[in-house]
Amino acid sequence: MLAYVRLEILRQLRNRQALLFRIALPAAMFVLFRTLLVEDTRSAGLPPDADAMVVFAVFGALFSGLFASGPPLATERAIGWLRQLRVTPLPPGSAVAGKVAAAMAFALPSVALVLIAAAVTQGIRFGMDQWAVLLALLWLAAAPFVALGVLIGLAVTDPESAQSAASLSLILLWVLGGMVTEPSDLPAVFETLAHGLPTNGAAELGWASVREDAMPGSAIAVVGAWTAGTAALTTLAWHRLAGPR
Amino acid sequence: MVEPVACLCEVTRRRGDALAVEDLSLEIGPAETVALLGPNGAGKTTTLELMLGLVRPDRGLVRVLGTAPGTAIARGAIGAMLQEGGLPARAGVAELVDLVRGLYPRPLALGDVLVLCDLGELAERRVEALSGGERQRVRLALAVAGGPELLVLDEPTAAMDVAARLSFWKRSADYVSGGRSLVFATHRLEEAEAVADRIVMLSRGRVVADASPEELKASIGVRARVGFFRDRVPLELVERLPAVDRVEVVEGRVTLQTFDPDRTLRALLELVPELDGLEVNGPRLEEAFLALTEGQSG
Repeated sequence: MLAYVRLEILRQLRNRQALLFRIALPAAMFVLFRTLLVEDTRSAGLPPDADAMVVFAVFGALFSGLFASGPPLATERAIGWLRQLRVTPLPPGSAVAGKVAAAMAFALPSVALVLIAAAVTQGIRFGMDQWAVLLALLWLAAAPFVALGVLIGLAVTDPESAQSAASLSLILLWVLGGMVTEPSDLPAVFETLAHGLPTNGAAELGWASVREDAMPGSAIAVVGAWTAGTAALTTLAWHRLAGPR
Repeated sequence: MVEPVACLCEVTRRRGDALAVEDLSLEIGPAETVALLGPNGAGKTTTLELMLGLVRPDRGLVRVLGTAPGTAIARGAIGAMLQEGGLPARAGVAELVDLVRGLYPRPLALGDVLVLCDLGELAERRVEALSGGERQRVRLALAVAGGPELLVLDEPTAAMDVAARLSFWKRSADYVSGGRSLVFATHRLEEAEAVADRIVMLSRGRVVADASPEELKASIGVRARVGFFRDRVPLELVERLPAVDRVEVVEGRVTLQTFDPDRTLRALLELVPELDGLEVNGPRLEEAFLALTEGQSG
């Protein structure tokens, strides 16, 4: 099992281009947007740069979480590798667990690089412990995105569709989660929806951490519920797929 | 009685509206090499998938080494090469083999697997840089890496050229030569004949024959053929040669069907010493197969 996770991570490390995109794109976007769009529209009661930093770190977790898990898993299913593993003594579900572990591992540098970019280019200064808490929080908030990615990889039948499904999830969770427009600026229905999405939940946790406020219970509940829900669906999809037909 | 390595007992399995296998019974003994032979759709793959626990029987019982297939797999008793089995991108050959070895309780040594499958020089190569034949060798390596007692191969040589096929079967035979069992599916008669101790012919999900290649040919009564040019050959005498069953003349060529080619040939050469264009073909399994499957239809 550990050997399997190790090989998973090694294989993803060898895919330099994809890795570079997933890790560097969120940070690059943050720098670009902060340079071009200096005027801030938010009013969360903290320096605008820190606010945006959290938003793009969530993007890093979302992007990396979805794309490091779903499309590779769909490819391995399509080529028959998962079936080959089923006729070895590898415990069932290890292939999925391996993807979760690898995707979580790669979400960490995605998030971290946004924080580093913010510190370097925008001069944001926190204590080390505050940085550590913020990084840990935003990283853990990648869990529902990874689980959703794995679910896509198991539920969608071919790799191209998995790419599309992951892209669609990315856009919907990003836009509807109020990451582009403040949820309160959205129509009432969408505002309610935004508060129920894990992107908004993750960002709220990040903002609270930056402000050194208490963690909002509602955001913890939303992220937790999404993690549990997607994990349960993933388990279900796996059993449907992996049991004898 | 020796306990079979694998057995299917009166197994029926539907696929959609059709029966993929019907009331099929089959035993694979220790150290046996068994070919499942049949045309596409005969139920070969389903039979192997039942043995691997990838497919559940609708009726009947499947046991491998005295237990359910899934348990046998978890114990590391089975190694398999499925019909479709891509290798994960950006993994190295030795890396993959080693990964699979690590999953089994009593694997072969990495070096031994690489030698057996002629992968020594490719050990550090990434799987995406392999040719088709090399990939198949890696897939065989993954099937044998764990040192399983039962090796299951589903049409492993389908995409190989003749030379690759021969060396592939040599490697597989080397692996099982120490008393392990091999069951493989093929639609190539010559492959079944050359490799297997026992041929199980399947047609429409049923076993239509189960015997050694020699027994099969004998039981069906297929004949050897002796062919030659017609020039200067007295046909009326040829018909009376020993063991001759039938005489055909097509475009200046005579073909005799004989149940004893040695006797027929000796007498023929005595009769016509200056015979031209002589050709002798052994009895063909293909005929046995057609005879058996035709018996099934209608």
